[in-house]
Formats: sequence, C-alpha cells, structure tokens
Amino acid sequence: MAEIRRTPVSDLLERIGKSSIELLEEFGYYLALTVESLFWIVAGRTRRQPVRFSAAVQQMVDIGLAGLPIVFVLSFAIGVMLAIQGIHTLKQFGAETQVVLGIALSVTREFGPLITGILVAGRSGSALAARIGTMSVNQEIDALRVMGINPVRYLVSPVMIAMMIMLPLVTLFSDLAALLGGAVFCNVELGLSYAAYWQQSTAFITSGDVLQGLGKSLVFGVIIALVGVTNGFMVNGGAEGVGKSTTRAVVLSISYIVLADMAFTYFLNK
Amino acid sequence: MSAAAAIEVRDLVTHYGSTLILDHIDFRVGYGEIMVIMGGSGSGKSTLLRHLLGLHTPTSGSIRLLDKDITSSSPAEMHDLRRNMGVSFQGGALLSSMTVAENVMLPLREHTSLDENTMQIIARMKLEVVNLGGFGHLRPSQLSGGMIKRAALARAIAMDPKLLFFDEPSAGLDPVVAAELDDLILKLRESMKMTIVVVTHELESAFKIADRITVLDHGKILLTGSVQDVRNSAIDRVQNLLNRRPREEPVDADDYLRRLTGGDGDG
Repeated sequence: MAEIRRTPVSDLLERIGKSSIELLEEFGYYLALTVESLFWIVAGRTRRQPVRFSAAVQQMVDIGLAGLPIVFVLSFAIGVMLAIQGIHTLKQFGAETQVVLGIALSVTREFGPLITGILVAGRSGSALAARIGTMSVNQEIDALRVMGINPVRYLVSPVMIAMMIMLPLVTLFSDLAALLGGAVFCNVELGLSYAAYWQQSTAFITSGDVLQGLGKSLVFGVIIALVGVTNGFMVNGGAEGVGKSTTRAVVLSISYIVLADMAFTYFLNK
Repeated sequence: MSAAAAIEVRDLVTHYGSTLILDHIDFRVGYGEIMVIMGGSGSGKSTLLRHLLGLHTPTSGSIRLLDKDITSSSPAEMHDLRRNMGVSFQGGALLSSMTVAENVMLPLREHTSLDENTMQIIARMKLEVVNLGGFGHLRPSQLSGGMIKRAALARAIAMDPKLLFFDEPSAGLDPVVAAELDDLILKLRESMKMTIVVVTHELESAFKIADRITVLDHGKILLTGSVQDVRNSAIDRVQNLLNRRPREEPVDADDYLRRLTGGDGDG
C-alpha cells in the first residue's frame, strides 16, 4: 500500500473519492432514518414503543406556531416585491392589471413553499441539530438506548410527523400572507380593490397549483427533519462539534430544498 | 456454573476501527455481587462497560446478561432485558429538557402503564433513596455534580433493575460526596439485592465497595480477585496503579524514530 507515489493529482482524486463515498453514506443514512422513523410511527404501538402524540404536538408548536409571525412578515414582503416587480415589468406592455395572475401563481407554486422551507430550516433545522447534537455529546442518546427507548422512535418520529403536518399548513399561511402583501400594494399602486384582487386570484389559481406547492413543502419538511437529525447524531468533538453541525444542517437543508425545488418545478411543469 | 452468573463475558474481542481495544476478555459477575472494573485511562474499561450495556457490537465473543446472550438476541429480547438494567453514566446523562422527577419517571412512562400519580410517587421514593427528596422539580442544569450523579442513580433504579451499572461514580466529586455515593451503592445492594458493576479509577472507592475487582490494562485483564488479592498482587502494573507510580516502559528506538519522522509507524 505504501508503494503508491503521491502526486497532487492522486491527492485530489483521493479527496474526491473520499467525499463521494461520504456523500453516498449520508444519503444511505437519510434513507435508513426515513424508513426507521416511519416504521415506528406505524408499528411502534405493536412493539410496545408507541410514538408519543404529545411529543409530536410539542414539535408542531415549536416548528409551526412559534414561527408564524416571521413567516407572515417575510411572506408579506415577498408578496409586495412580486407586485412591484410585476407591475414594473408589465407596464411596458400596458398590462399592469395582469400582475394579479403573476403573483397568484408564483406565490402558490413557488414562493410560499420556498420561503417557508428556508425559514423553518433556519429556525427548526438548526435547533434540531443543536438539540440532538448536545444530547449525543452528553451521552443522553446512550442513556435513552440503555433504558430501552429507541432514540429514533423517541426523538425522530415526532419531528417527522410534526414536519409533515406543519410545513404544508405553514405554507398555506405563507401563501395567504404573500397574496395579502400583493393585494395591499396593488390597492395602493393600481387602485385595485381587495375584493377584485381576491376574486381574480381565486379565478386564476387552480387547486393543482396549491397542491403542487403543498406537496413540495411536505418534501421540504422531510428534508429539514432528516438533515437536522442526521447532523445532530453525527456530532463529535463537544461544543465546537455541535456548532459545526448546526451550521452544516442549515446550509445543507437549504441547499437540498432549493435543489429539490428545482427538480420538482422541472418535472411538474413538463 | 453459568446459572449462578448474572453477567458472563467469554472471549470478548473488540476493535475500534482497526485498533484492538479488548483482547480476549473473560469476565463473570455473580448475582448480588459488586464488581469493580479498574484500570487507567485507555485501559479499555469504558469500552468493556459500553459492550456490557449492548451499545456496541463486539468483533467476537459472547456477553450473557441474566442468562441472555446480548450479542445474538433479538431487538424484542433486548428490549425486555433493558427493563432489568439500570445505568448511571459518568456525566449523569439526564435529559436536560426535563425536570429531575420527569427524568426518573421516564423509564416508568415508557415501560409500564402505571398512572401518573403512581409514577410520581415512585419517582419521589427513588429520589428519597438517593437523598434528593424535594429536588424533583429542578432541571438538571440547576444541580451540582454530586446531585446529578445521585439523580442519575435514581433514574437508574426507577424500574428496580436486577443489574446496575455505574460509570465513574466518584469522578469529579469532593471526597465527602464521593464517600456518600459509595455508601449509597452498598445500601442499594443490601436493600434491593442488585448485581452492581462499577467502573472507576478511584482506588479508595473501589476498595470500599468491591466484593471483587477486575483490573484491566491495555485491553487485557491483569487480575480478577478480592480486595486483598489486588492489594497483595505481585504484578507490576497493578502495583503501579495502587501506588500511583508512572509507567516505566522501555522505549523501542526504531519505533520511536519511525513515529517522529512520520514514517509508516502506524501500518
């Protein structure tokens, strides 16, 4: 083994190979974690290890309710920005009133789920990684295991349930807030009444548009849960490790969300 | 012979990566016995404990707890066995999101269908046993080091386990608190007839509580015997440990040079 001569190229190849394997390993871990956490949700009761509903509710409050004010503010702002840009663009064709269509579609299909995903990743994904990371540094995960409490069942499944329920709900809330933002700006700028704005929006948006957005957000929720939890479990090296993992969890989950969004948009609009 | 052993380890070999950590360990603890595992840092004593707890899979060998081989038992069997095991970790490992009382109640909540009141009464009783009566409402972060260890002990005995494992009970504690914990361990064995395994490097504590002591060094068992046996042992390394003598190991000049020059000394 020691006979191989090291060159910059071989070092580079080695690094690429190593990180590819690590990436593959991580995706395998995500997959296994998904399967296991869903297994406990479905079969926990028969194994005398039910997933606690109260734990899931607690998570839903943390993930969903607590984040609503900031989701409202940012979504509202996005709605206003879309209106500004839309009116500016459409003015060149003298078609300012068509801005409602643009806002309605881009909000429900794209911006609602995306802004929600990014916000929840920043708020809850990081909290999740930090919480589980600290627990594993303090041997709390080991303690759970020796007490016969499966850590995936106890820690991951409730988060999974909460994410899959709350992300679509918060996305719906974000959709409404962004539409409101658009409505307020259109009212000020174009003198369009709120009733007319709402009527036009609902006429344009099909349930398919909304469902496409909500479906995406469900996947974003799963991504946030998996990346947050995995980075938490992988923590080593004490407090510094927790910090690194938390950062990594946020950066990775936002990146995966944007990439998944692109893939979705491509395939759903073919 | 095996019927009388609460814990029986046979020919246990474990690796960390490719490094050999435990080298053919044989180890037996009888029912109601207090066994102390001693050794310096890096001796493999923590690894042995983690294997006894079923947290790792060994390379080879068998570990029987209460007559069940944990290296080959199903998750369901393991789950049943864990109801009979209590563990007090070095840092306590109390869940920081819960109060002390909730921590003690956690095993009850997960393994029994007792009603809330009964669980609270049991939790209070266990906290009384470890002299923490009235502290149940506090969070782990509000407790001192000694209190955390005692709270962890209360959680470990919540289910009245047959086996109790204790990792470094006196590490980081002042001598008085450490002595109190030793008494507590003796009291528990007396009143609840538990089989207790304690991992420690504190000699005084070990000599006070142990029925038998196993001394580990570099992943091998140097000696297993009574307190007297250990005190009178003629083995150099044991005496080093007892008398706080630094190791005097001959230096292999070639090996040393290879390590310094960063050659393939690790190969």
